[in-house]
Amino acid sequence: MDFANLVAQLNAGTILPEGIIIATLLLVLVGDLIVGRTSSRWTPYVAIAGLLAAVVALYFQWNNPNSISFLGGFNSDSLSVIFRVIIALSAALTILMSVRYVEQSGTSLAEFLVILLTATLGGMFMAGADELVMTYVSFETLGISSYLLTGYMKRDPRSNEAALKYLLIGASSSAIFLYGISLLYGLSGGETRLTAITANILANNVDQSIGLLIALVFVIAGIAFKIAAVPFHQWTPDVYEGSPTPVVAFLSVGSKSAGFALAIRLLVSAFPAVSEQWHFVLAALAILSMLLGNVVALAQTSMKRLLAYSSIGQAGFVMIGLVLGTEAGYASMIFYLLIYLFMNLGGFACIILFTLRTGTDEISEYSGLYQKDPLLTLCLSVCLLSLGGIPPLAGFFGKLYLFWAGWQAGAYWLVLLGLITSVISIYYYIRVVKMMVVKEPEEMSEAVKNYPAVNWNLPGMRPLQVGVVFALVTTSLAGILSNPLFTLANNAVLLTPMLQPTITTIQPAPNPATPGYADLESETKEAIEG
Amino acid sequence: MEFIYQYAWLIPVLPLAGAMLIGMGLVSYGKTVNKFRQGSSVFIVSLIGAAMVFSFALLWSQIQGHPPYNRIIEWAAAGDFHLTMGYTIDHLTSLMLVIVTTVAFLVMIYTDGYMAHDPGYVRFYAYLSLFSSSMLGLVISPNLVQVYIFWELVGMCSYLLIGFWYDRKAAADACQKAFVTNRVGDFGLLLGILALYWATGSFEFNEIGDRLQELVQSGSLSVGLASLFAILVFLGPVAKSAQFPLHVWLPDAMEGPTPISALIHAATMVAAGVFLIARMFPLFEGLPDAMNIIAWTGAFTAFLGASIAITQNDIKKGLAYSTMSQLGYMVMAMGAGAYGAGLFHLMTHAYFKAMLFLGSGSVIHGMESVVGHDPVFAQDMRLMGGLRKYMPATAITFLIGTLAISGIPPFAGFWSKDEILGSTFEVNPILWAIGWLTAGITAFYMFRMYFMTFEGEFRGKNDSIKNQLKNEQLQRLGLAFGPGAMNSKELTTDVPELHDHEAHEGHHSDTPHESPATMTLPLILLAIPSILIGLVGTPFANYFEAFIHPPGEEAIAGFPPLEIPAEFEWTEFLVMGGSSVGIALIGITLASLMYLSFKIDPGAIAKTSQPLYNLSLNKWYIDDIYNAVFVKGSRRLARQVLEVDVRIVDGIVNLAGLVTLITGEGLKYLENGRAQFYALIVFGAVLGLVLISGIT
Amino acid sequence: MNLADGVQIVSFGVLALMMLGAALGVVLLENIVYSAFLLGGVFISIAGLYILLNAGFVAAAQVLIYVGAVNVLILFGIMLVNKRQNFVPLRNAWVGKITTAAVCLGLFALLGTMVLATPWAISTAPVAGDTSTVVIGMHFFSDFLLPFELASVLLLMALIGAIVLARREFLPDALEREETQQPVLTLPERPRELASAAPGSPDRTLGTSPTQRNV
Repeated sequence: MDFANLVAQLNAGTILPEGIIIATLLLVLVGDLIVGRTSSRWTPYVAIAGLLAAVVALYFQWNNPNSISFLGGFNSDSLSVIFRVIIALSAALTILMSVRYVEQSGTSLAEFLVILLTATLGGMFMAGADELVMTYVSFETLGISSYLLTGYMKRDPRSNEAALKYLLIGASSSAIFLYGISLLYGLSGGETRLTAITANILANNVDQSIGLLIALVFVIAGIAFKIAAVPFHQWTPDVYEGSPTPVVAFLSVGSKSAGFALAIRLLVSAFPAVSEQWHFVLAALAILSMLLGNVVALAQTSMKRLLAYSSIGQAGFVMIGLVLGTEAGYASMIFYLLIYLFMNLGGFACIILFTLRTGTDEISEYSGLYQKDPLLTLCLSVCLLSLGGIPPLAGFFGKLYLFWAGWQAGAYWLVLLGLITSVISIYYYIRVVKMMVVKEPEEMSEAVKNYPAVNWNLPGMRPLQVGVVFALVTTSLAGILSNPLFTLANNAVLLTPMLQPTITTIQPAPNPATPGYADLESETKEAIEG
Repeated sequence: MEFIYQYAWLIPVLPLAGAMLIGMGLVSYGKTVNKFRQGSSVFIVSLIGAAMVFSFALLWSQIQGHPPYNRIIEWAAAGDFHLTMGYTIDHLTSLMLVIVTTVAFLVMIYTDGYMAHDPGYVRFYAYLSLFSSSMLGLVISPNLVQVYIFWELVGMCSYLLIGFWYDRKAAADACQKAFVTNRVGDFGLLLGILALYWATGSFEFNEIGDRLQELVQSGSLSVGLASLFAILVFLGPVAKSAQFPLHVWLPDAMEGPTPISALIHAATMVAAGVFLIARMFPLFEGLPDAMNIIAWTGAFTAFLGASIAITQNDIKKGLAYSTMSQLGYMVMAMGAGAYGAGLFHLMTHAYFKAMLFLGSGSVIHGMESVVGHDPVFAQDMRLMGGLRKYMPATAITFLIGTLAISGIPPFAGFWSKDEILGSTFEVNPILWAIGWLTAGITAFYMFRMYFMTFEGEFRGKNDSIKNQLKNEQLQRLGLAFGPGAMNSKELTTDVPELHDHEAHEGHHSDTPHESPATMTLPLILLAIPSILIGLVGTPFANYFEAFIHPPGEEAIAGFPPLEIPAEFEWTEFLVMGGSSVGIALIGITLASLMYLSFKIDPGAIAKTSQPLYNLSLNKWYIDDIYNAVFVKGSRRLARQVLEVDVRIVDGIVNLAGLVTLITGEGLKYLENGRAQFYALIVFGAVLGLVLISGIT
Repeated sequence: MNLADGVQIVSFGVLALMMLGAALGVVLLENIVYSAFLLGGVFISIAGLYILLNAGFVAAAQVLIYVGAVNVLILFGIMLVNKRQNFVPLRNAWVGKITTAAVCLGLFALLGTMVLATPWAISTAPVAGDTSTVVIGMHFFSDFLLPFELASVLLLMALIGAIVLARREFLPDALEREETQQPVLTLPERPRELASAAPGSPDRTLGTSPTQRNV
């Protein structure tokens, strides 16, 4: 195996986006070392430019016929591309909103960016990892960077606390995850590539053994920790409350999406033998997450905690798509995550802005904000209403697609529960909107009364403004002009070979007597096959 | 004429653009835009005016016999998931467009006078425009998904507008209530939509109806299930059109500014429920059970509303219950299969009820100059009286509205109500009897309202009544606080000092004054259709029925000749019409004896039938029951779930004794061991999941 | 250089006993320093097991990393935290202990059953033995190249993170002046010096009100 041959086999072009990010990371790090503290004027923009360049590079990876690289270690199929785009974009938006925040807290920006970029890198590798060792190393890269980010405001006791707690629970769950994949390794007779594991397990006749079941549950436990699904959610409220808010924004979108990407790839390619069981376990987690997340959010008084519980609930909704196992299910899940990226980050950007100006994130302090800062109020309202699924905002279409896919696949009870809990969720989102919009001057909170004049010219405020406005525009327009996103999500699933044979075609249960419907179905089938 | 159809999408888009533009301006340059008060209002009013002209053109073209126009575009598609959007213009749509645009146009003109001094003037116009746009979008929707989107949007607007004035404590609760109640209905609607999609694979109105009929006939879908779906869909209208049992939000919604009450909560949005039933009529038609439920719900609501309205003293609350009762009529008509009659009443009611509400707003506006900006005083009819002398234009238009709603010929309400009662009689005489009785009560309470407000002596300076009102309010507040929380003496001091929006607080005059021309002009303009519009639907020359008919029925070619058709049964018409006019006259007489000439003492009657009086005064105790059952119940539930997550987890932690000394904040969680406990839960959950999934 | 079978069994028994005994000691002993040293014992016993399995490289790595680095770090951690506190015996502590024990025993039973019940597919490939370092190296530069390189990024970042967490924060004067000029812009994250300035004062609680934070 000579060197040139090896290089050709590696097919290293598939990790060009990640390469760009590593280069950016080193540039930021070394640049900061050379220039010193003043580097904070340009480092965030370099980082954002690197992330956007990575997104552009990912665009050229779309529908790459030769997607497997590093001798089976990494897979750059459309599914991984779309998830990597989501993760990279979430990091870019997070950087926009963290510039001012980090500056104001008096910590250094360059290191923050480096760690954030490493976390992004971990997430992106996790989305494409096609082999157990790769999966675990990227899992840990994302995990350890997240712990560091959580504890980045080290002079704030709450941040320390959050980091320590996150670290401890994270270590436990990653140990469980590691145990699970080591079982897979053993059961498959020493195979680490996901695609080969199933064949080996079937060949070794261990597809019905309790070992595989334990491996499944252990792996799901590790993933469920990342996506904060009940009952692996306990860290979420405390960590969300204590961590720096931009980090929370990244954790709630980037880290979660990486978890979902891993879930799809690992479960679909390594566990088809126990697919009934994994659907059952995930359905249980989805139900618990939707119920607990949305109901407990009703009683929260802190905005960050509210969003923490709401993100648990949102993860439950997304898991519906995962549980279905249909093409529409996966597509709806990706679509929802795409939209969730904008609306959730938009919400966090607004909270950061409010915190920067008032120093608090209690919900009651938001009352009367409309009088002082209409733009912030508008953006936060739109993002929250979209999270709640009010038409015609983006979130409505996301939920519609998810529930439609569920209904088609016959998961009636799951959809019904999703509907009920999303109704509950609208209530607590609207509570905040009402608090901001309709209060008269004398009911203003102290924080709003002392609200400083809106000044976008302070250093670091401009990117935040860009982030807020960008989220506002995308969240309001992504609903009305949702077709490109629908197509994107659908193609990502259609172009991914992994998802094609395994898709369990659960026929919807319409009555065959309806003539038009049968036609529609056969047409779509042809369209898919053709 | 084709081009007006191609550009019909402009009708909702015009007001939307106005709202967006003003809204954006408010958000980015709030202070500057707020200064252009007249400019923005003229801008918005002219946009809705343009939409109105457009709607009239469409209506005219439809009357000329233009075929229905459909335009559908693919909105979003992924796999076999399709969303189509578009618009459809047919007879029903064009009629609704005209109703909505005219009422909105007039209400917007009126708003200029009513909100003249309010700091939220521009914002209010933006909201109004947004609402009009959503309502128009709802009307032209060709499929259920689009209907649902706009359905939610009008709900949102209504919710925001009820809470527009937060100086009224009740407004906070009211918009909460409106929100929760509507959510119940919308949830049912959404379920119904999904169920219908499941059964028929379509969101289009006509296809759903046809396919469902086919399915039921071929036996692949049981009638019971189909009726269940229909009733789920009907839950949407039940909430939006304030039908029993989800009616509780409408009276409270009157806390919003009066133009809102007129536009949203009397003329348009609440009628959206009836409109939806009309749209889905092909579906309901074939399901007799569903039709019966609809009819009985409507009839009961009509009676309930009327019986509560008798004892209301707040002028807007009284009108609200009357709206609820009239909506009940419409729903009953729909349930009885009288499609045309229901929509006819929707049209006449939209005009005369909008006028009555605007009239009440004018009265309140006039009263405020005497008693101040306290809704407890300004809206209470016991403080009014004799206003006809001071506000002649308002009084005359209000009287016209009262006559119209009471069903006195030839005013609009007579023809539509008579048609409803006539067609109900053919279906079910008991329903007719309820409707007939309700008509009498309606006449009684409406004239009671008119006499108390406009006739007799002016009582606005009577301090003893004022004190009595204040005490009543305090009692209510005291009840809300719970017994023994505070005694009423203390309360008097800290009654929230209600601030004034308007500058002319302070120079109280002794007599109320007539409202400015921007307010009286719409009243007068609305009086014209309130008198005349009924004539298009007279039983002997029913143009309306010929134009508006259920989609399934054969269209009558051309229009009925002006001559009275030979088969027209005069006797039947006279009997039906005579009986309803008769009971209305009885009601009016009773009202005049009690409140105009004071021959009968209302207090004595109230005393002799104390339980009935209390039942009506307390709104049949429905609010109290809901409060006890749902509000408290759900609060308890939320608290318990929270306890499961926090208290019990904490409780186990405490029980487990893992709480050690709390020494420093930084290590608080570590030291009390919560992190360990979380890890324990993680491991326990893993164990549990393996066991559960292994067993199943 | 395989050891004779008898020696293998005996040494396995000894190592297993050592490991179990030390592990129990880690959990059950009250003195945390003893626990830390016993943890080192556990690691060394595991290294012994690796040697028995002919995995010399892994055994060496185990000793170097776990005993040499991780365990020493733990000991340093314990000794640097010179906070002496006695365990306060708690009421009902047994409930927590019993729950923990139940979960642990449950997991143990589950995994034990699994190990015994599963027909493991034992690899028939020849044992690498002394050449294992070569094999590992080959893997590192062929099919495990990507995780290997990613691990280097991870280590770099961990290094940076450790420095960030450990270094004293340098606050330039300019920033502080800015903060004093605009008190409303202060974040909830306050310097610890400020928080501990008034020991025992009520503002040490987490829920400081915004006005207090803005001081």
